[in-house]
Parts: sequence; structure tokens; C-alpha cells
Amino acid sequence: MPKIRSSRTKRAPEGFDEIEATLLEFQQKMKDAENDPHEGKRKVEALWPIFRLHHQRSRYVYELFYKREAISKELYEYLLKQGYADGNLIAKWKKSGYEKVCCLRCIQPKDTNFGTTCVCRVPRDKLEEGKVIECIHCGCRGCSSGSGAGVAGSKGAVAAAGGGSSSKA
Amino acid sequence: MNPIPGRPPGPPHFSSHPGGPLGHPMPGPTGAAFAPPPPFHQPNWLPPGWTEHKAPDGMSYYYNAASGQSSWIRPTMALPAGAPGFAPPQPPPGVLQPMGPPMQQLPPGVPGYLVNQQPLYPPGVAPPPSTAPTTSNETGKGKKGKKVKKEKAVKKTQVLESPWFIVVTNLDNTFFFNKETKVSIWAPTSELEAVLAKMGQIETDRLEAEQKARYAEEQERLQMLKRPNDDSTNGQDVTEKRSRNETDAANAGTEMTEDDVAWQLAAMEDMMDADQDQDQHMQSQDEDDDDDDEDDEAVKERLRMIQGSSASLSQHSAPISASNLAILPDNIQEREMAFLDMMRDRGVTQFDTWEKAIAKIERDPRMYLIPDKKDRQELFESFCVIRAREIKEAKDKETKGKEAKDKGGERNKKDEDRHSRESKSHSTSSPSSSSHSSSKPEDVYRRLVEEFTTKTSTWLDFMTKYRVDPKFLGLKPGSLRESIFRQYLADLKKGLVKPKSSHSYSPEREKRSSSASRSSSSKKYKATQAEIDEFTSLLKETKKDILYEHKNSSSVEWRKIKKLIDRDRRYDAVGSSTEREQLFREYADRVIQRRD
Repeated sequence: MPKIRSSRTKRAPEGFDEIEATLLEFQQKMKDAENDPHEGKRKVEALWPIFRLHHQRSRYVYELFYKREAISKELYEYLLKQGYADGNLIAKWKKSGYEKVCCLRCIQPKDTNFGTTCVCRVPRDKLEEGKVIECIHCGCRGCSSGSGAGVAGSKGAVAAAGGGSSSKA
Repeated sequence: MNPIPGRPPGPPHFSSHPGGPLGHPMPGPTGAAFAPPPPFHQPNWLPPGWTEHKAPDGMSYYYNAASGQSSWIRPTMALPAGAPGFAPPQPPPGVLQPMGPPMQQLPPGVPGYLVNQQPLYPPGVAPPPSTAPTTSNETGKGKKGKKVKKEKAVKKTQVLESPWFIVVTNLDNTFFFNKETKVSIWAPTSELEAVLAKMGQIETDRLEAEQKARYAEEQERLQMLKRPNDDSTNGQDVTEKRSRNETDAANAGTEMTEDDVAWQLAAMEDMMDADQDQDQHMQSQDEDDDDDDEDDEAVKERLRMIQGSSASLSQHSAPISASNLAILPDNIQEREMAFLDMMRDRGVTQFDTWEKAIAKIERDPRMYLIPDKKDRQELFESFCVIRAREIKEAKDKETKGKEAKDKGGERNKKDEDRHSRESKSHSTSSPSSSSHSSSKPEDVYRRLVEEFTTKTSTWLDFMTKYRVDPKFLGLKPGSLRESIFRQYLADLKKGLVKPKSSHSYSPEREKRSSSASRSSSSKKYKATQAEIDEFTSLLKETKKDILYEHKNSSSVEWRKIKKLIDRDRRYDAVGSSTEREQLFREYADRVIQRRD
């Protein structure tokens, strides 16, 4: 979180400059989401972009380190420490079956009436209704590993990922 | 009702008028029968259903849209059997198309049409939606009982910078719609045609340019491959090609990747003779073995498939350039290779998110080689992995190359890399006077000590800093480490040993240390002016911290500021610690006073 640099903070490890741009972008988007007016949204809906961006940002770091191996361990730990990514969420992604979990609230059984997980954890094929589910915690539309959630920026990511290519299709 | 008086009568309108999603009148269902009474009644003139037009020779004729009759004779209430004597002129398809189901009730011989004056209707097709929605609505809504598929707009593209849109409907009709005047026509007016022509020109230019660029790229690659082909020998050829293409490869690192190899294998098929193919096969088998060590399953799979396909390619000898360029290659592996190449060309890095990558490649037509979006994403992921690996290998190679060049310097670099991040000083590498020959742990350790120690260093600091260092630990009996360190420190202070550490500011110190035994707190020992200047320049850097501290706690503590700067070279410029503190005090006071 402290993106402020003083003479006290340690210098970032090498390789930070390349990802700094993207991280800055995320930061901007997060600020925008935080300052969005709440008009026209449900009370819970106003928080969904926050969760989504948080997921995306952590996903980015996770992929860079674990999947693409594009950053060093040192840099990765620095990022975790400085709050650029959520270590607890990433820890879940390392587990089988939880590779695409949307947020930590949705797998917390204490938050539900019957001690289960959130509805977004149900796989698409088990969910016969055909209507689109948006879970109340984070607006997720299905984050089980079998339900075909996108690679980067899942959770109803039609907007972001599809935005670029939709006009081409 | 035709709102514009002087205009040729608009066509009789369609019966039903589905409100399209675009909110403007849509062409009626093509299967519907026209029904309707004429758009306007010219008072006291023609019976309903009849309209008047001018034939090319200037005479006017009358046309009944309902019955499809055209006549020279002006009809009265009962329309005379259309003037069949002379062939009535074919009504210019201009305005009066029969509203009939297209293709079924053609007006008597609608041939070509006048190009300019009126909106043109391709023969046999129902006219475009009228500009006055109301008239179409009421008429004949109930007439046709048949249910017809509602025509809806599927796609709208704007003609550049004009209010015109090109609309495609789900029934495969295309027409032009002007958003401002709410006019829809089948065929463009002349000025619209001009704009359309321009638009088309721009498109084709763009595509052409891209094709050219890609073609040029292909040519380049072919050239590269052709060059090494001139050599004769068999087995070496392939490796030579590899090494040469390594250096030629622009984006990718100097290492040959599976992609490059596979691509070259595929391309080389055409160039090579039959006996060289065998060598290639051997090579590809080697690649297979390498692949097994890889973690990335997808890449492995792909490569195997590529090699399989390259074998088949040898029979076809189709140049790979053709497959990339115009026609979609059927072979999925080729397509994936082309896709990866495109990403490479467009500068997609492994640090990009998928959105950024899309933004970079979306203009490239090669993107459509892979139709499925999910596949694209997966390809992108594996591309990133490959790139990351390439770059890492390239870096390793670089550092190894440097190592080979000067070993002493390299070792210094390693040490510096390790603690340059922690310390603030960017120390210059000490002269590599020490030879690299000795590899005994003691000497190695000694060198470490020499590098670190300055006159003010302590055993405690040294130990905590380096106790995980292999050099430190290399010296087995632990007690030796301390003793060596202390000995060296003593020598330094006595001035017997020239300090090799970059932390120390040696020449001045030498002078001083020769005159006094210990460095600390001695009145005999005053720093020279140059040293003071050095130190103050260092102090100036701490100005912000001083102010910060001052704001928070009204008294600035030397202790705290000291910690920030004590790793710096210039800190040791002034030998005496009391003097340092004194200088700091003065500076801090000045800073605070200036501020206040």
C-alpha cells in the first residue's frame, strides 16, 4: 500500500521498472473505483469494482511470477510486502480447485447462512438456471475452475478482455 | 404522406413496421405483400393506387402500384386496361417500385435504372423503409396474416465522419441510413458514393500496406535462410543455420527457442535437398528430448505436432510465405506459429496483461488465424512463458560472457550486487589487483574482509552482514574468521595495510592514520577542508530527513540521521566522529533556521 517512497523505504529490486507502468495503471483504476459515485448502484454493487481490481492486480503479479516466471523471487516478495498483491489470495490460487477463486470472502463459510461457500463457487454446469449469477460479495459470475472463467480478470470480465476484440468479431 | 411536395411520390409503404432496435424505420418484412394506398392523394387527380411519372422521352405515364400496370392514359376511377397498345414505358424504378414481395411481382420490365436523380432501388427488392414511419404503420397492418420474421439491424458501421451509416440486417439486407435526416435508402447518392469510395480506398490501402509489410518480412526470412543454404556440408548446415539465425533474430534473445527451431524446420523443408532432410529429422528428435525436460506441456505438444507436420510439408514443398500471407493456412500449427510471430513483431512483452496484448495486436490481420478467443489467450500465455525464458537465457549468457572476459571484475560485481541494494553507496569496484588465482577459502574470506572493512567497521557488523555468505562460511573454523577480521582491522588502523575497501576514502586516511594511531575523537586530528566539504555534501542529502525529524520531534537526532548515511563513502571522509557530529549539528541548525 505505501507507494510513497522516502529515504527509509528500501529500493525496489531490479525488474520493477518494467512492471511499474502496469501497476500504476491498476492504482489509478482503483482510485477511480473508489471515488465513483454510488448513484444507480446497489449498496453492495458499489464495492464490486474494488474486489475486481484487487483480483486483477493480484492475478497479474501471480502470473508474472508463477506462470510466466518473468520476475525474480525477490521482486515478487517485495511486491507482496509493499501491498501490490494479496498474498493470501495468491495462496489460494496455488491450491487445486481454487485456481480462479474470485475473492477471499466467497470461500469463507462463516459468511453464509448455512456454512457453505458463495454461489459463485458453483460450477456452471451444475447451475442449471441459465440466468447469470452475480454474487453479492464481489459481483463474481462464476469462479470455479471448471466453469471457464477467463485467464486474466475473471468475474464477468466481458467488458475488459472483450472490449478490445469485440469490435473485430 | 409524402412530406416534401415536389418530390416524386414515395413508394407505397410496407404494411407492418416493426420497431427495430435502432429506432428507425426498418424495411418491412420482405415477404409481406404490399398493400397500401399511395402515399399521398394528389387532389382531383388520379384514382387511388395510381401515380404519375415522366418517361425518358418526356411524356408522362401512369402507374398503378397495386396492379402493377403502367399506362399512357390517365386513369379515371376505373382504370383503363393499361395501355397495352404501345408498350408503356417501364416505370423508372426510381421511385415507384411495386411493393411486392420481391422477385415475385416485378413491375413490367424493370430494367436498368437512372443513376443519378432518384434514389435507386435494385430491381426486385422492396424499397427501403420510408422516411415517414406513420404511414407505413397504419396501412395494411392487419392485411397479411402471415407471421414474418422481424427484420432487425445486425450491424451498423459509420461511414467516416458523415451522418451516414451502413446497416446490415439479420435478413441480409444492406442499406444506408442517415442519422440526421432519418433517411434510409438502398443505394447511395452520388456524394455518399464518393465518401464510400474513399472509405473503401482507405481500407484497401491499409490492407495492402499490411500485406506488403508482411510480404517483406517473409522475404527477409527467406533470404536469411537462403544465405546459409549456399554452404554445402550436410550436418553442419543445420547448426550453422541455427547459429546464424540466432544472431539474426531481432527480437528474441540470442538463444534459439523451440519456436524458432520449429519455424525454421518448417521453412527449411522447401529449401533443402532430400538427404538433408534426414539430418533435420535427427535434429528434431533431439528437440523432442529437450522438450521432455520442459515443464510447459503445451509447448511440447505443439512442437511435436509441428515436427510431424514439417515432415509432411517436405512432400508438398509449399513455401511458407504463401501460407502466411493471403490464404488461411489449414494447418493449425502453422497458424499458431504465425500468431506467435505476430506477437513477437508487435512487441508483446511478458509483462503485458492480456488487454494490453490485445491492444497491440488487434490491428494485425494475423490475429484472425486463431478464431477462438480462449485459444488466443492461451497462446498468449505460453508466448509469455517462452519470452521470459528467452530473456533469462539471454541474460545468463551475457553475464557468463562477461565473466569469461574479466573474472576479477566479475567477482566484484557479484559482491556489489549483493550488498549494493542494502547499502546506499554505489561503490565503484575496487581495482581487481587481487588475482583470481587463489581459491583457498581463507584467501577468499580475506578478500571479503578487505572489501568490507573500513576503519570504522566492527566485527559485529561484518558478521551479521555476511554470515550467510558462502565466502564467509567457506572458512571452516569459526574462530578463525573473527581473528582474521580483527587482525586486518588492526592493520588498517595502524596504516600497515592499504585498505582495499571501496568504502574507505583511502588517500586522505593514509595521511591521517600515519600521524595518529586511532581514528576516533582525537584533537590532533582535524579534517582537512576537502574532507569537510565532502561530508557536508553528504549532509545536504539528508536535509529532507532533518526537516522531517524536526517536524515530528523538534529535536533532530544525530543518531537517526547517522544511520541513513553511514554506509556512504563520504561519511568516512571526516575521520573523527565527534567532528562529524559537530558538523551535523551546525548543518541541522542552519537548515532549521532557514526553514523557520
